[in-house]
Amino acid sequence: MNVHYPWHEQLQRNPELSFTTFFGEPVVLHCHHFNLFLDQTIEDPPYVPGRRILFQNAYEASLCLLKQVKETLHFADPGEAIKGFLDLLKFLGLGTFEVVEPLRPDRGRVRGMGHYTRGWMDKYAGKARRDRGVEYFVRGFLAAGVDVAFDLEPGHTRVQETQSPITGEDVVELTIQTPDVHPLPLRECIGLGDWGNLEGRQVPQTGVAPPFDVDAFTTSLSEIADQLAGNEQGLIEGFHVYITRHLVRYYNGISADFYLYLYQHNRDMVSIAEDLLQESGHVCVFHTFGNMLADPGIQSLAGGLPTREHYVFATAAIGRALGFGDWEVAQLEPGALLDLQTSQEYEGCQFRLLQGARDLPLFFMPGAAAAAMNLAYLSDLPEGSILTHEEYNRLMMGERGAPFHGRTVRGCLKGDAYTLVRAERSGPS
Amino acid sequence: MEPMFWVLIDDEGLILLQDQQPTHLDAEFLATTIYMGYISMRQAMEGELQTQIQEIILPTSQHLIMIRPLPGETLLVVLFPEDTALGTARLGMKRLWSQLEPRLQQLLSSMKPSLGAEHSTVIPSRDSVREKWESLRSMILERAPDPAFVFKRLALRTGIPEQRLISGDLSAEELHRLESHARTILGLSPNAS
Repeated sequence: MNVHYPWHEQLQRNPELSFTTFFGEPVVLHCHHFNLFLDQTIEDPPYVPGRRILFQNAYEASLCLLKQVKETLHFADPGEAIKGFLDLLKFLGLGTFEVVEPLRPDRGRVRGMGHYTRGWMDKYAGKARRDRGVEYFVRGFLAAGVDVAFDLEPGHTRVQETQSPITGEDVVELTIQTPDVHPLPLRECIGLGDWGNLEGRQVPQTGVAPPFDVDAFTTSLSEIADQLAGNEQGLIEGFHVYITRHLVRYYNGISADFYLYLYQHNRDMVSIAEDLLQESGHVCVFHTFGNMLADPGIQSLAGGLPTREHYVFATAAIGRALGFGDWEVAQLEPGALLDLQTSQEYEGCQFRLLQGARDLPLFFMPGAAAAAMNLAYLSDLPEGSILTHEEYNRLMMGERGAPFHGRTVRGCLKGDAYTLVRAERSGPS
Repeated sequence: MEPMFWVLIDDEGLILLQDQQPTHLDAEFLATTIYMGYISMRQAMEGELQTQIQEIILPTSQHLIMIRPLPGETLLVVLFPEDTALGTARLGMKRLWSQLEPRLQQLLSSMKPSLGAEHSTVIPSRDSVREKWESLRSMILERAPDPAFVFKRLALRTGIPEQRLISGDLSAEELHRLESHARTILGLSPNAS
C-alpha cells in the first residue's frame, strides 16, 4: 500500500527571485533530455571517475534532503520512513519502486521503473547500447534513505543497480549492499546557500520593453509548475517530455566535480566538456520550452505569441517559472544576438559555495540562451506542433543555417554583481 | 614486512575498506587515482594484448605499491616502504590477504554484481587508418542519435582532441579506440559492420 504525504505543502517559491525550495533544499524542474545528457557526459570518459561522481553527489544531495524530511515528518519507525522516501521519489517524478526484499541496514531490494530509465528507453532504445543502467541518482537516494531511516552513520550504505530494462531485464532492480564499508567522504549541506542574499548584487535596468505582459505570463506558468507531481508511475509527463523536480545540489555537484577533475587532470579536454555540459541545457530548453511554446494552452496564457521576439521573451518567463532564477531579456537583436541576465542563477553561486571554486563557467544558462534563439529564429513552431529529436538534429547540423551558441559574459563566480549570458550565431546565417 | 597502508576499491572507484592505521595519505585521492590508472591499463591489456591483469607491482620513489584485481571488479591496493624487497612484499601481501580474506569474502559475497560488462574489444582493420576513419565517420554521422555532438562525445570518451578527429590524423591504436566507443554509442555489437 502506498503512503501519500502532502508534499506540495513543502514547496516554497520566491516569486521575486524565481527560485523554489523543497524542505529547504533548492529544486528546479528539468526534463529527461537534460538529465540523461548531463549524466552521460560525466559518465562517458573512462579516465574520469564519473560513476563515482554521480553516485557520491546523488548520495550527498539526497542525504541533505532526507534528513530534513525525517526531521519534519517524524516517521514512526524506519519502515515508515522508507515508505515515505519512496513516495517522495514518486512525487519528484523520479520513478516508482516497490520493496521486494525489506530494506534493512545491510540488505534489501526494490524494483520498479525510474525516470532516467524510462527516458533512456524512449530516447535511445534501439539506437544506442549500454552495458549498465542509468539510475545513479535513485541509487544514491536509496542509499541515503536507508542511512537516514535507520540512523546509521552517513556514507556507509551502497546501492547497486542489479537489473535494468536497458540491459534486457524487465524492471529496474536496486540492491542494498553491506554497510560495513569505508564511508563516503561527505561535504556539508548548504541548503539555499547564497541564493536569496542580494548583498553586493545589482542587476542593471535593461530598458527593454517586453512585447507582452511577461510578469503575468510568468505567474500563470508558475502556478502550473507548482502543481506538477509524479503520476502513479512516478513520472511527470508533460509537453512531450518527462520532467523531474530535482535537486540543485545534485546538478551543481556533478557538473563542478566533473569539470574540476578534468581541469586538474586532463585540461585539453575541458573545452569539449564545457560544450557538452552546455549542450545538456540546450537540448533541454529546446525540447521542453519549445513544446511548451507550441502548446495552444500556454500560448493563450500569454495572449498569443505572434512574433519570434515573443518566443524569446516567453522563454525567459518559462525559465523563471521552472525555478532557474529571475531571468530577463537584457538585449535582443532579432535573429542575431540575445543577452539574458539574472541576479542569481542556480549554477553560479551554488558552485562557489560547494566547491570554493572560481572561474567555473556556467553550463545551463548559456545553453538555454542559445536554445531560446534557435527556437525563435531557426525553428518553425506552429501551434500544436511537437518538436522531435529528428527536427533537433536537423537544426543542430546546420540545415537551417548556423545555429546559435551561448557563452558566459558576467557571472557571480567571476565576482560580478550579476550574471549575463549571450547567444550568438556560430557562423553565417 | 607489514604493509604501510592498504585500501579496497570498488568498481566505481569508491573505497570499500581501508586500513585504519593513521596515515598522512589522502586515501580518497589515492583510491581514485589508482583506480583510474588501473582502468586505463586494463583497457590497454585487454584491448591490445587480449590478456588479463593478475597483479601490478609499482616501485616508486617513496613506496612499493602492489595492486591486485579481485572478484566483483574490486581492487586491493597495498603500500610497502620503497626499499622493501619484492619477495618480502609478496610475503606481506600473502599475510595481509589471509587476514583480510574472510572479511573480503563476506563483503564480496554479499554484494550482488552490478551491471557492467567487461569492455568489448574490436579487431583493428587492415585498411589504412585515415581511409578507415573516413568510412567510420560516415557511418557515425548516419547512425548517431545525436549527430551534432557525437564527435565531441567521442573526443571526450577517447581523450583524442576534436581537431584530430576532424583531420583524421590518428594512430592505429586511436582508431581502434574510436571504433570501440563508436560501436557503443551507436548500439552496435562488437562484430557488427
